[in-house]
Amino acid sequence: MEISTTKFGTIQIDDNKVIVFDNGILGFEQNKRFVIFSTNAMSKFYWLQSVDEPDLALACMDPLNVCDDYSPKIDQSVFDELQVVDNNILVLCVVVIPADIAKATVNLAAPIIINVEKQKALQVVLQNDKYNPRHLVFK
Amino acid sequence: MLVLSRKLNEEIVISEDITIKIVGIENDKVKIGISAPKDIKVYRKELIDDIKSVNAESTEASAALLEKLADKLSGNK
Repeated sequence: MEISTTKFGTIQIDDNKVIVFDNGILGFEQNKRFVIFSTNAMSKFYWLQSVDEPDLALACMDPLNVCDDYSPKIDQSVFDELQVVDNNILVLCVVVIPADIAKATVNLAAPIIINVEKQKALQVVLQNDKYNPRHLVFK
Repeated sequence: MLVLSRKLNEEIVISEDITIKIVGIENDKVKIGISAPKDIKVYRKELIDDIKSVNAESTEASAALLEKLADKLSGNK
C-alpha cells in the first residue's frame, strides 16, 4: 500500500506492517493505524507514522538507550489485549526534540507496547510515579 | 457535571464496584481514597494532559533533527 506522509513524502508499506492501536494514541484517539520505521539502519530511533494522517508522525526511541534498567510494570491485561505470546514485544517511548537537541526528552511514563507479529499496539500510562514523562535524554 | 458534597470519611459509590472516599482534608488539599477493580485505570489528570502534550510535541521534530539526536546519542556512548 502507498501512503502519503508530510515528513517522508509518499512511501510504500506492506499491509502486514500496519500496526493497529485500537484505543488510538493519547491526544490522537481517532488515528488507529500506524507504521513504524527507522530512517537509519543503525539508529535506535523510530518514526511512528500514521497511515491515514500524513502530518502525524511521532518520534520514538528504544528507552533502554537512555535508561538501561527501564522495567515498567505492565498489567497482564495489556498483554492479553495485544495477544502477546512469550513476552515478544517491542517497547518504544515517545521523544520530544527541540531545536536545542541537548534538551531532548523521552516519555518513560507512557511506553508504547507493540506486538509486531499480531500488528497490535497500545500506549500504556504507568500507574506509579517512578518514571518521568519528560526524562532528559542527555544528563 | 454531577456535584456532591461529602464530609471527611464519607464515600461515593460509582457503578457498584468503585468507591471513592474522602480520607483527609487539610487547608486547600483533599485526600481521596479510591477502591476499584484492577482494570479501572486511575490517573492524575495533569499526567494524562502532559502525555497528550508530549505526543503532540514529538510530531514537530524534522527527520533531520531526529538523525542529529541519534548521532549525538551514539557519540555519547
